[in-house]
Amino acid sequence: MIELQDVNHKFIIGKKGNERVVPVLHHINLKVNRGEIVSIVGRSGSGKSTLLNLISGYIRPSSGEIVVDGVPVTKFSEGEWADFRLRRFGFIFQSFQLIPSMTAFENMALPAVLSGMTERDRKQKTEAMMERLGIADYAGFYPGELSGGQQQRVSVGRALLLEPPIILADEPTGSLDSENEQNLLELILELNRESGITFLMITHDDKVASIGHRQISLVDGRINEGGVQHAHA
Amino acid sequence: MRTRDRFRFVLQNMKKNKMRVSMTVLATAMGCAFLIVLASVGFGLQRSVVEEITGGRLLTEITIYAKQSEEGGQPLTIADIEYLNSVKHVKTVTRRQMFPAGVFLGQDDKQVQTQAIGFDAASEKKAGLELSEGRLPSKDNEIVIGYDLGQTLAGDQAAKTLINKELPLRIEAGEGTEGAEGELTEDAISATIVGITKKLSREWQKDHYLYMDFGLFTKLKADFLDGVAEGDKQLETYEVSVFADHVKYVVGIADTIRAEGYMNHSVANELDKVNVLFLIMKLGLILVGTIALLIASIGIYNTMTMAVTERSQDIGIMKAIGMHPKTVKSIFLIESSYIGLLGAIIGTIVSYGISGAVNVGLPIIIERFLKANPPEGLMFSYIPLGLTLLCVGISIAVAIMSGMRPAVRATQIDVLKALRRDL
Repeated sequence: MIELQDVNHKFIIGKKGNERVVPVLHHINLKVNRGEIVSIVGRSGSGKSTLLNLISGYIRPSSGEIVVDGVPVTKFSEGEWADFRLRRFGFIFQSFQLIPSMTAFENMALPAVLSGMTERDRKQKTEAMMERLGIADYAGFYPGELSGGQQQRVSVGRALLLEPPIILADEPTGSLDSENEQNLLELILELNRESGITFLMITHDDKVASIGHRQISLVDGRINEGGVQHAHA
Repeated sequence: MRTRDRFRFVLQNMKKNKMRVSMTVLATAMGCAFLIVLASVGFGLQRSVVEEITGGRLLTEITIYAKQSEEGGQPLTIADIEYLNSVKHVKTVTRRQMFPAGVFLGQDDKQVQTQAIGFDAASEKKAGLELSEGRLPSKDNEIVIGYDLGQTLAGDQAAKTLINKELPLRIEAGEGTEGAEGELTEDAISATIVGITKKLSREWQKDHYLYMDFGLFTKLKADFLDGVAEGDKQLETYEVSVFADHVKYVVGIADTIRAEGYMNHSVANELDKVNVLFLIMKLGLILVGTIALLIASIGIYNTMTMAVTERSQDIGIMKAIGMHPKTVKSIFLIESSYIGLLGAIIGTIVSYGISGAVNVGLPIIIERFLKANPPEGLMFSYIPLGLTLLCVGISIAVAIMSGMRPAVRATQIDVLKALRRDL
């Protein structure tokens, strides 16, 4: 489903004429199967976020190939990435990334608006999702008026609205208290079990990582072969 | 993203910065109004000058003076009239001839001396001769009188009371007539007035003529003017006009008949030169006016740049989810063109107001303070629909161009920087 073939990435930093090349990822070979929950763990600076950003298409790899659902995406244009992202991926961010001037309902309905769904259909879909996530009473609230847990639910609802096959989560519980963290992890497991959604999660929290079918450890931009754990093995 | 959603999104964003958007719309409106009013002066003056030149004459009319031959200019003949009628795209040819003696219409103290003109009623009708009252002659002894002759004959009564009135018509005696010179011929015919011409457009022009069809014209000549030979080959004291099917054929017809030796003149030809001069003037005025809009465009550019900066994070989040760069660009272009459109609408309304006020107020100011009389009917400012559409088009185009760079910048917003709130 998601396949990284010998992916390398390096950043070029510094001013022109005085640039410095910083290698971040080295020869990453990774395969995430349909319906899997894969946790990527590692210390800060190990390249976890860069790996997720490469798969999301926010940055392009310096070399190597990324294939999603059999489609090589490495050479996608900005426009192609936008369409692909909207249909195939759902995103859960650590800091929720909700638009402050939009209500919870508007934030959640955003992917449906971008996809060109009719007003009636998206209203129906968003209302159903809010109901499912238990935040229907907060539809008219702005993000600033919601608790962290409620905001994350809006963010999860937004990620799931178009029923994408893959959810990419960057420290999804990073801003949540332990109760909300537990609720979110249960929701992830439920969605995976019931809808077969694939989850690729970045975390440095062992508890969060432990819900994954597999844990992949990144050390200094390399997959630590010894660090791969199979939860259900 | 649906078009309706894009507009909704744009309106929501504009509402957030009402004051800034209002100021930008105001600047655009001022620029647009300045452009329209400035150009309208050119259109107004052109209209006044053209009306002065045409003076109610038809643009399709070509006046023929004479036929050029080796011996010089020769008067026209009936054969020439037939030839002119045969030229392609000629609608009709009218011929008017002055009766070679004075005529008196009416009797006793209401008798008026005038000049009679012979014409072909059918050709005149085809050429579009308009009457203020009645119709053209269709039977013997029917006549049409000039507007001012009608006023004289009617006296205190309305001129239309003269329609269908029978009045005696006498010829002034002279060379070749019976009776002493200066006296009236004894016999008179009874003429029926069936029509009155329209008032001439210029104040100083008067129509005191009496018009009759060539049937009556020839009969009178035969009955009362013995000395004048009937069926002259060459036309006497005449006025011949060729009328084209459409104004676009006038120059072509004029060239064709000029090549055949017919000396002619057309208002359309004259207008062509005047119109070229005014076109240059109007283009110059539009160019100067557009500078005002370009200044307003700096405001639009500034507003749009601010809008992009303020919404960078929102756009970044939407791009991270899957907003297409084309959608991002279109949203900002819709916003800038919306500002342009609003400004253009307000500017147009204001410019119509200014134009009306100038046309009413300026003659009063000239009369009161400069102690001078502006020419009657002078239009200082005129806004044709085409000018409005052109200026609205320029306003929107300038607004879109101003929004283009900020819109492109919005598409280049770095998603990761936006997500890190680094923008």
